Amino acid sequence: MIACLDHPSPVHTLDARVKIAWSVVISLLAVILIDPLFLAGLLILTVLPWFVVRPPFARIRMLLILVVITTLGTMISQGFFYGREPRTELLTLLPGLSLSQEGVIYGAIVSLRLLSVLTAGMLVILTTHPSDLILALTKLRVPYWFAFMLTLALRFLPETIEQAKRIMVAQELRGAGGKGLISAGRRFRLLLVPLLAASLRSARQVALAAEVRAYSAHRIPSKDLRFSPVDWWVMGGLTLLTILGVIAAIVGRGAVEVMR
Amino acid sequence: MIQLSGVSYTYPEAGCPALREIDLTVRDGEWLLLAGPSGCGKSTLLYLLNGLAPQVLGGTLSGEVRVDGFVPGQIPIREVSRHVGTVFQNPETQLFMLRVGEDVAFGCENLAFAPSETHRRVERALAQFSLTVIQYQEVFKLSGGQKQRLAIAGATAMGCRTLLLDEPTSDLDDDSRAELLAALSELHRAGHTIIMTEHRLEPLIGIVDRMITMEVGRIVSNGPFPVTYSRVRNSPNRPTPSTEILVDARELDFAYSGGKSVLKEVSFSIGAGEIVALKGRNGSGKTTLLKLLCGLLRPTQGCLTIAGRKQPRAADLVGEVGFLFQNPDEQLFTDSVVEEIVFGPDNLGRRVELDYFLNRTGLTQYRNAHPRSLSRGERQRLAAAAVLAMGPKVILLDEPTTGLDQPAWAALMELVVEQARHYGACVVFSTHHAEVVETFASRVLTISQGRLVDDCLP
Repeated sequence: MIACLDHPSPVHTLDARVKIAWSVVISLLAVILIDPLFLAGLLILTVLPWFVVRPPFARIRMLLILVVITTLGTMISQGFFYGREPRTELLTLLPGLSLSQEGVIYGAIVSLRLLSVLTAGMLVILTTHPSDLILALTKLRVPYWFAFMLTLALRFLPETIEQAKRIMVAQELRGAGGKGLISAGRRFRLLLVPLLAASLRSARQVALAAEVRAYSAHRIPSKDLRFSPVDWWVMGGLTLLTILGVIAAIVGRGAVEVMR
Repeated sequence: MIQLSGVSYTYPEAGCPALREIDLTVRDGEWLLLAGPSGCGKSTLLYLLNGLAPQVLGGTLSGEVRVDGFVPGQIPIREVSRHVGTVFQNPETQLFMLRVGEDVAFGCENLAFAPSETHRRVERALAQFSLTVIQYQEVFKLSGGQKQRLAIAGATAMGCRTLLLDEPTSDLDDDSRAELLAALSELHRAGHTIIMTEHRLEPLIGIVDRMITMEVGRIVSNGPFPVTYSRVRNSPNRPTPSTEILVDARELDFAYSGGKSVLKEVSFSIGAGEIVALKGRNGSGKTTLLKLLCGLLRPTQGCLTIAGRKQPRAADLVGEVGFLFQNPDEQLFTDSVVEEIVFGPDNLGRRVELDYFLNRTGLTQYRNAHPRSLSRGERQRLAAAAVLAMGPKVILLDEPTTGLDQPAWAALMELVVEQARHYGACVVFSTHHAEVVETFASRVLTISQGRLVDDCLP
């Protein structure tokens, strides 16, 4: 569900470093802005590129589910457990456990922040092949061993999922059914042990295979990344957005909460 | 030239040497086959040539190993890999990158070639192994044959003139094996030295220059590869087919949701006592058909009756259908051999003849051992015993002989056939292994592109 979309769009053609920068800028603004209107504007801004990418309905549905769960979950939990005064009670469930108006509003603010960050991050993942993302990370001075580890994790994820499915099928065919927490716990243990053993066995084989392919951190990548004029324009736009966001946070209604 | 003089090697904490007094010379440009039963030291010999033993694996080495004048154990493996390329049995664990072209480039980048040189080498290797058209494809979407060709392409792109191959064709169907051997023949003609281990010798007739047979760490024969190969023929006591129909498939169609059709209009019946081999290329639909037969998948059209149950789900067939996977490790999940055998019957509330299965699988002395401490052949027999102990009427096996040598696969299949006779069951097994089919099958179904194209005697 979160794999890179095959069909190309203008966002796909952007340099992966630009998309990482986009995600970082949105995350920064989501932290420093506090006014709900500004945060709503930020969320709208992060949603706009989705119209350019035009993902299939299944991905949009996933995003909408994420929006609903995050918003409701955060508003309800903050509504009940918001600890600051004053508290205007909207609903009392039990003595000492009530939903407050201030908590619900605070939950809405937090969920706007979370959604902005998630929406921007998902766009990066949906429009960037993992290989390009990892190459971009190495260009951004992330250590090669970390990038290689990340590549291997992505490389072996589909096989590990398939393996887990096959083990569960083997259990089912040998009558390991049953309902309830105890049965589920037993099945989980019976799944975890062979999966872990297989992973350790594979890890050893991968290590040997990497040795004979001359694995080294002192390598020269054959691919390079270069900014196109469009990338420079987008970076300029992101810089402007950051400056405006910081000004809004300092002088406007979106004053930084920690500065109060 | 490769030379081994008086070489003995012992793994760390091993009681006895894996290799004993090996003397061997391999000329430049020679294609040498290492044959012999599992555990005889074939793979260990390859590890000495690429420097993994003793540099990475540890252990004690005596005697002298020389490859093109240098001693592999005394220079960094990274340097050895410029001269010696290695391809392991399992392609899954030797491909690191996400896309085909990137994986071929991986070794060249590690050797710090200039990007232009890496590009040149990658393009040449991709073309040599017919991978150019799929160079941007994700590695995990490739077939077994493509993965194995990719692994070899990655090794040759690094510039090695000697290639070590550890059972490279064991997972491949006949066509993929032929493609791989054709690509290797091309390298051989270009002057590469090839040393490979393999259990199945027939496909190598007329290709390999020389064969060495090993037993218990020693070379027991060394000579030209035989021009003919006679099979050891067993005559297993097959069950007598009866008129009781256990599997009845009528006009079966199957497609994964949103995907193209995998099986089309497949019809057949299988009676009790029949031993049916399912043949076809990788991706032809064999495994999908086996999943339908055990209720893991349900046909999108047509009628399927298994052991008297129409259109069954897997839960309906527990105890009636047994399914042995290709990889035994995916169906061994308890902490001892005994627990593994009794797991299924216990869940069904059935009695199990534990001593019979322990004795029949040769695992009596390991009854309290952890299943993962057993050898591959023993694990496969244990997995089979765990399935057979439930007394299934329909026994399904997915590529059961992969990675096993002749004694191991013969022992496994004999156990299955014996149990089929005992329970009046039928057996359906998918395989690429002609010798297994000829030895054990009473009938062969051939599937091509999702259709049943042949139903005949072996």
